[in-house]
Amino acid sequence: MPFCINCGVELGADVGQCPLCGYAMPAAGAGKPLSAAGAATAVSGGGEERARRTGKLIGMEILSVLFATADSAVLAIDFALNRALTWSLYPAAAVTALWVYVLLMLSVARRPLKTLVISAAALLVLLAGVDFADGVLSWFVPIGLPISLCALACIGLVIAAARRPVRSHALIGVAAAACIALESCVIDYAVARFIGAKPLTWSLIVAACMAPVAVAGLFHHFVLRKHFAVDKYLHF
Amino acid sequence: MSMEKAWVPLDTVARMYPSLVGSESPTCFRISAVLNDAVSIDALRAAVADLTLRFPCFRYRLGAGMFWHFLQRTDERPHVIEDRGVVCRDFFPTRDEKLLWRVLYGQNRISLECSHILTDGYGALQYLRYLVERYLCCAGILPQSILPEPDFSGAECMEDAYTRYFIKDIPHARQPDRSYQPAAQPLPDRRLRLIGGEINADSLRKASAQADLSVTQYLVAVYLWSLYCLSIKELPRPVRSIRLIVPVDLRNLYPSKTMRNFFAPVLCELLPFLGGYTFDEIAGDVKNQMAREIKPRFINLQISRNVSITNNMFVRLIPLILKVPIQRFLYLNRGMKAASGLLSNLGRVALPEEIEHHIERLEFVTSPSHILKTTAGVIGAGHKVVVTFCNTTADTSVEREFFTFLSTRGVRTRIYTSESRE
Repeated sequence: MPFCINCGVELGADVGQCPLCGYAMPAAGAGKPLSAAGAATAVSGGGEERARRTGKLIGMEILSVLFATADSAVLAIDFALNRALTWSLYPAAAVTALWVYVLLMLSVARRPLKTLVISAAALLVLLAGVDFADGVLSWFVPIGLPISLCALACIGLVIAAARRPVRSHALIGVAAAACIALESCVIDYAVARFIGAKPLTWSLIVAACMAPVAVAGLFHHFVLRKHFAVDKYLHF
Repeated sequence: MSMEKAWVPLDTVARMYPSLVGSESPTCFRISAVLNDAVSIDALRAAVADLTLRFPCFRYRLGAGMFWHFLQRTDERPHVIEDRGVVCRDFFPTRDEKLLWRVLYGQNRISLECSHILTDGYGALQYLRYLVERYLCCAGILPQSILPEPDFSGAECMEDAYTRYFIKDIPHARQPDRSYQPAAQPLPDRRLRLIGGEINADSLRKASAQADLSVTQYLVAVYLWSLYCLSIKELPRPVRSIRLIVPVDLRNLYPSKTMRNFFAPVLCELLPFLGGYTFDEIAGDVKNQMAREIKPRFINLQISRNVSITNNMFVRLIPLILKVPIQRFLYLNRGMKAASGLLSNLGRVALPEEIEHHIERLEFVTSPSHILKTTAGVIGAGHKVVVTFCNTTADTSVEREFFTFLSTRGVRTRIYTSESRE
């Protein structure tokens, strides 16, 4: 049985190094990775993870070069033709927003909340960039910002409904119907205010259409669903 | 079967745990039986299927209500999956509407991973005992069943025993302040380092008797000594106390057949800022503290605190969507920071000789977190006691001090290791 001369403890038969101090066993076991000895739970440490990270880093670098090339090409062509930056600012803003978005998404893969926040930020940056391309912010604050925020809140609501521990398709439908009604109202109100028209006209019809859908979904979820027990959900 | 309810509220302690389920869940624990021979997967699946109806108290998944989570009865089949070495890390029973436990198989290892939302170490151990026995029968190793028919279907098995023994008019236990935390940085990718020591039970009992302590008290004293040695290396002038959580099975103090959580954490404390310690002083302190704390009158304080919080009308009426982040914040920032380590001893598992003969050893792993960085699980079977340290950092100082100390006291220990990743 191997024995660590540093720690004075006996080691498992197939332990290559002392797990306590790292002393390499001079016998056949020496040089083996620090893994899994007596346990079938053995797993090679972070080699696979490191390879995955390196691959991701290389991918991000390649994408950055491609996006930077596209930006530079568009700006250079515009400048060569007009001796100023005019139309190229719009595609450049879009490409830059997409660039930032892709890099951030790669860095937070498999994290839904961060993905949503980054998508929101990227969308707002894109809209603000396109609006600001001519030097002033005109439609972004009164129209772009409220509609975008409302749309993102709606997406978050639907995702939250879909990720509930007790998943219900009816409840997801209710959330989607409510979101359509809300988004319609926000679009109607924001655009009407911007152009000076009467707010909340057609959106109320959309909301009225969505109301029965939502009521039917709620009825299905809370009344028709089997095994529903009010005391279970409301016990406190 | 007739006693199975469609849903039951969580027990007093479990009400906190759903908020803690995440990438590094401190609510999960694992008990493993390492057999002498390779595991037959078909026999294991047959054994799990056979036990499913005999353990109705395990046929629940987590549901979410308006104010609290609850256990919802389910007919879902238990998961029997291959052990890929990811210990207590990729188990999200709240996310996928799964059962709150699962069985894993390795080369010669049968493991049960279980969430504290459902049961504690006692309940999980009962299941594992029967699982190993049924497995040996299904694999044709045992000719017939040896253990008595399990009887875990009564209403008492699903009771919240804390509320039964709650005494209304006594004060609550005081929330301890922040304790010393080892400074080591966490391993990358939320990996865990497991270092286990297979200890000869006779030599451990002998060393404990020499120190005039029980085996648990002795292991707690050695663990505290290890933390103390690390703390004086890191901080020559310590400012915080060193505190160890020792969960105690309350079924030994309060008669109950419950298969749900029924334990209380006892705190063993050193105050290094008042002066240096020798091991003998620590041993004396541990003996006095544990003897004092593990008495019904002091345990009642803990029960009183837990039950009073969950009975508080204000707490009860907070919607779950707000309750979860508040509970998580309080537990991680107050509860966990109050301890420097955890040692959970499931004790010696009584198994018939015919079964013990086929088991190399049992292992018990409790999941640590980025705050409570090191935990130790102790379990014994036959002539072996296995102490498994689970560590979120690369620093093995505590484990090294622990096992080398035992060796210097003549306790025969064989070390094995494994590293687990996300």
